[in-house]
Amino acid sequence: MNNNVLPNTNNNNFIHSLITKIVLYAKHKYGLTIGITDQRKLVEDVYRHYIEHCNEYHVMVCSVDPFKFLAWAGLTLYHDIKIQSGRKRQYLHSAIAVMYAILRKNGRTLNRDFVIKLIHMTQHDKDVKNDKLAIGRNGLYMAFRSANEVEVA
Amino acid sequence: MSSTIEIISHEEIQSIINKVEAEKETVLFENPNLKNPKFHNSMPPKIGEYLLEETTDEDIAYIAEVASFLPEE
Repeated sequence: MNNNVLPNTNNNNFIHSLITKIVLYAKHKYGLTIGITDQRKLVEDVYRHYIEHCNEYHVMVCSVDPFKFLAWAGLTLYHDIKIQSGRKRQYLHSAIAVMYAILRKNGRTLNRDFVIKLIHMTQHDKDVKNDKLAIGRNGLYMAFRSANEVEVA
Repeated sequence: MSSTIEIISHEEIQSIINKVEAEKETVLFENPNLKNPKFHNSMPPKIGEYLLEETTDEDIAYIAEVASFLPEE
């Protein structure tokens, strides 16, 4: 095993941790509840999309990508889970807050104004096909993932 | 904090993983049917160690602090 890679036996634990952080943060920050039924739907929807994504782009997954999981979870909460729909932005913000904290834990960061713009672009997605002004699921994930992967030339 | 909020169990997560993988007739992690993969995803060690720690009230407060600039609405 590559010493720079954690073993994949932890993947269940990683998913559990990511869900825990979203649920507890949403409660702490906004008083929102993400019930157990919605947590199940969240895991299922994100996991199904994860497989479709990796098959499409020929990605070999050794361990969960926290930015993929959280970006897709945030947008699943925003678009697809019909809970407290008047506060759907706060569900999305909860996922983005956890992504930002993880980025910081890894010694990286993103310009705060850029994150705010990213949120606006993400929320522009209005459930219509080919929304040319929106950033979509992959755009949100890639913005954070790219920040995490940045190298100095 | 977590004692008063129900969180999906590890067993339920595994059950969902098994169900989706059966439905898709594929696996996500180290998919043996994926020939010549173009990309590899692995957890950065620092992030992995963070995620394997228990999520405490202090951790949630940390997230709230670093993300305090996010809009309230």
